Amino acid sequence: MLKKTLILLTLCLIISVMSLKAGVLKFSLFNMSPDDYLVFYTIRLPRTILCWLLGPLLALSGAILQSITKNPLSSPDILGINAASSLAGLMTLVYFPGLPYSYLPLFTFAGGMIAFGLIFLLGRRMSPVSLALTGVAIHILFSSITSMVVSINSLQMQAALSWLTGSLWGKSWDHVTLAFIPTLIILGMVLLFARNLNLHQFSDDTMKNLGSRPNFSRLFFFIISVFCGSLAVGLMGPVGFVSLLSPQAARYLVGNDLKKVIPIASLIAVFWLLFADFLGRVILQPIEVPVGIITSIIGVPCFFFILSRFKRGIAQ
Amino acid sequence: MKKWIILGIILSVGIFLDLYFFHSFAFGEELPKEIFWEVRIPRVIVSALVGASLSLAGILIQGLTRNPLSSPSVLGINSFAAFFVCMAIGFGSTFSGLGLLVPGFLGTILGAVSLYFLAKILQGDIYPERLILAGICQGFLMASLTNLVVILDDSNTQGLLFWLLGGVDGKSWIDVKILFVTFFPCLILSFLKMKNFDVLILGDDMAKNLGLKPSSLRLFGFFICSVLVAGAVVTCGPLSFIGLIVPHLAKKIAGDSLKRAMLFSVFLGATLLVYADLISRVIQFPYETPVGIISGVAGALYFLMLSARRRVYA
Repeated sequence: MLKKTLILLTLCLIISVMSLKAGVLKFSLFNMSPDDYLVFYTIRLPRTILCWLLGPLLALSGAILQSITKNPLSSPDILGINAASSLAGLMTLVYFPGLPYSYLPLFTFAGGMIAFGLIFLLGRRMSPVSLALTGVAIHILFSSITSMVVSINSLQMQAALSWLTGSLWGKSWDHVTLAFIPTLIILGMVLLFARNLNLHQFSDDTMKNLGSRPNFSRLFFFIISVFCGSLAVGLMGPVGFVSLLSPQAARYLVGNDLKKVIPIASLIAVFWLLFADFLGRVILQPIEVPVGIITSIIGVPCFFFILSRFKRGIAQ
Repeated sequence: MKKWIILGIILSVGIFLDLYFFHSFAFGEELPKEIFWEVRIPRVIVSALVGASLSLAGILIQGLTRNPLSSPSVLGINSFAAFFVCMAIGFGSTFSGLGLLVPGFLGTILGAVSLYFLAKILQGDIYPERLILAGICQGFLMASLTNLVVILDDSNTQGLLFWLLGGVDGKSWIDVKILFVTFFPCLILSFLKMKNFDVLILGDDMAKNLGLKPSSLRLFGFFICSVLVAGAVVTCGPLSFIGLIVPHLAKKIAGDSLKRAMLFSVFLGATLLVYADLISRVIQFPYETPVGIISGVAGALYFLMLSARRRVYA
């Protein structure tokens, strides 16, 4: 466990340094002119730090959802929660353009809760693959409403598109301060309650016998997970597949104990975000490819691989 | 027979309204002849033929995969075609008119092939939801690649985005020509092979016992679908869910076998799209809402209903 954590941490640090150096303007980190320092301090540094904060958020929301639905295929992007959040965010951007940016996560959270309600109504007692399919249907529904909103307000189309693909372009210290406290609080809280979250791998009756209230704790964790996902959407737009796949990879590495899974999954998500951001800035310079596109290009084949391990809807 | 007559009447009323009604009531003047011949007539023909192509492709693909949830858009074949056509338009190539069919067809064929391999990896028809999920995800992948093309091509972003929403506005006789080339041969071919496809729906073993080769028949069917979808996507952009809803409706009304439902679904698809076009011109008058948005939202609701109802498998 310790060795794996250290290896992942070093990988993350290496890719952070690489992404701090990547970009149109080249400079060495130890010998900067004032101009270089301005670019470094106002553009590159907040962006990298934001990756470090958003990674745990995404990993948390995926890991929690997967354990409370007892379904390795669920995550906020597959279940349509991200799509609903981003629809809500887009509508706020379009219809209330004067609103300060820091209110956006509130609206995305409201949108995410609507999708959560739909899932809750429709998805009870479903097998993993059926639940995933229903979630994807909800995702498609919300994203088609999104394209309706975009086409009606075609003037802001370009801006909307860049937000909807999920991008870290132009993120500043404001975003970092907005993300910092919630991320730390939630990460601490979930690690504190990880024992209770672990109980969700048993049936409801066993949970009751062990002194836990299954319905209450499920609702509680569900809301936390929706909040994490929506906060990430509010800060950088919908980025797919990170929250689905990083908990999976972490489970593969350290087993099923969430106390170990959550830190490892967070590090994997951080690494993935940094790597996608780095790649997006490097491959087509000077044009920047949004993070969301890169993560889904990497993520879809991995998703196929996981899907192929389900026979008759049960993981083998 | 009664159903056919009713459908025929509805279709002709729709075509009539689409051609005349709106203009004369809105402006109270005669429709100029040029507009009638160069704008209205091609538009109606294109919407009818695209609806028909997508519904035919949908009913064939549902039979071939033996899965009521599949359709060209759900399985991601639409998005493959859209990606390739977008590339062809975006990177300033010489493709235009009939030539656009080349990237479109390349896209649909690649989509079908990749679906085939996914089905192989997932071991196909045992568990239908997985194939659908895989199809949707390959669609997501193509959609994000298409977004990339749109972002890279600065000069034409607005145009490409509107094309991607799917619409029948501004169609000319070239588009009619494209659809004639793709639709009618496929209609005839699928009619000739209809009985064989009908047997295939009963199962591969049954088809083998009756002396058919299921794999080559399936290959042929997917080829027809690819041509149909390519024609539709090249002219009108990736319209989603028509190929899902129309076959379901047609089977409910006319009966489950292809023999009863295929031609009915072709006409039903044409009718549906003609009316969708009419609606798309009315709701935001004098602006047009792209047809793809109307069919997309309605279809997504229907798809959600379908997938939520399948808890039998739980």
